[in-house]
Amino acid sequence: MRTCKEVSKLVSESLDHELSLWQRLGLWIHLSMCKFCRRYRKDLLHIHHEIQQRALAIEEDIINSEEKLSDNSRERIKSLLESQQ
Amino acid sequence: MALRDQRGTQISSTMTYHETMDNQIKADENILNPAAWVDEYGDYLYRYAISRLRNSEASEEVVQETFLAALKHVQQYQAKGTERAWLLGILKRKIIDFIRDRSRTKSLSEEDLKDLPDTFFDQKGNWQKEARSTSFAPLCSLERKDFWRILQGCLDKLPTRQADVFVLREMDDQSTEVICDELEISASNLWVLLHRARLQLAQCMKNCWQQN
Repeated sequence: MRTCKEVSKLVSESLDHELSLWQRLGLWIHLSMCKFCRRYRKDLLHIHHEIQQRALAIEEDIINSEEKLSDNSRERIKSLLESQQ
Repeated sequence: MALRDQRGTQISSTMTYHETMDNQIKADENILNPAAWVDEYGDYLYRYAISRLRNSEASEEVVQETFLAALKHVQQYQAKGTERAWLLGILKRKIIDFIRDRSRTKSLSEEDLKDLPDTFFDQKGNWQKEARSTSFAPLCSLERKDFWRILQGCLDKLPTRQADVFVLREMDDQSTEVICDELEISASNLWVLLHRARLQLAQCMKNCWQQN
């Protein structure tokens, strides 16, 4: 029986590569019995999913953002570009 | 009727021709006028950079690098996509370069790979009480706008390398092979880094949210 510590790592790895048959088996047996690890997996999948959704709307986000290039760097970059031409 | 149509067509085709020329000239002017680039695309690129690097100095640096590289390779610009998309493509490359350099300056530290702190698991490998996911406040009920703000705040608290690999993997959807190549780390090290990043992020996001 795998520990929660091991299973939490497998949950993460399942987002990055295909698990071996043994790993999957151990993971699912543990998950079927442990609600904390099930919740942890749900949290990770949620974070993953939200970020994916967000990526689709990245244009909108960027346009709505209030971050600005500072005036100093704006001028610095402009004069750098002029000097390079 | 026919005449008007013909004239109409003529006018519109002339205008289209002029418009095309105008756009062409405008595009050429932009290409040849870097000062206009900075005004037009500076904020856009900067916002993208800061969403990835979380640091204003670093973001200004990559934006500057992007414009300089663009100027150098201006002949390679093909008017297939927009200028902005072209610049964004260069910026993405510069961001990876920046992360790679930042990661090269220090080798994988103990902080990145040592055993997880006892805050998450007890000696037997069970979840510590405080680290357990509770059922009454699952992360998935977090509103989208709060989610993003909290995620950025929590990424900021992670060790840099862990945050960087998380951003490359989850936000930029890079393959693990590419990340390992760029950062010159093994796959198993990458998995450890990502695991630690996710564990701490999930925890931090819940804490921040509950304190709200």
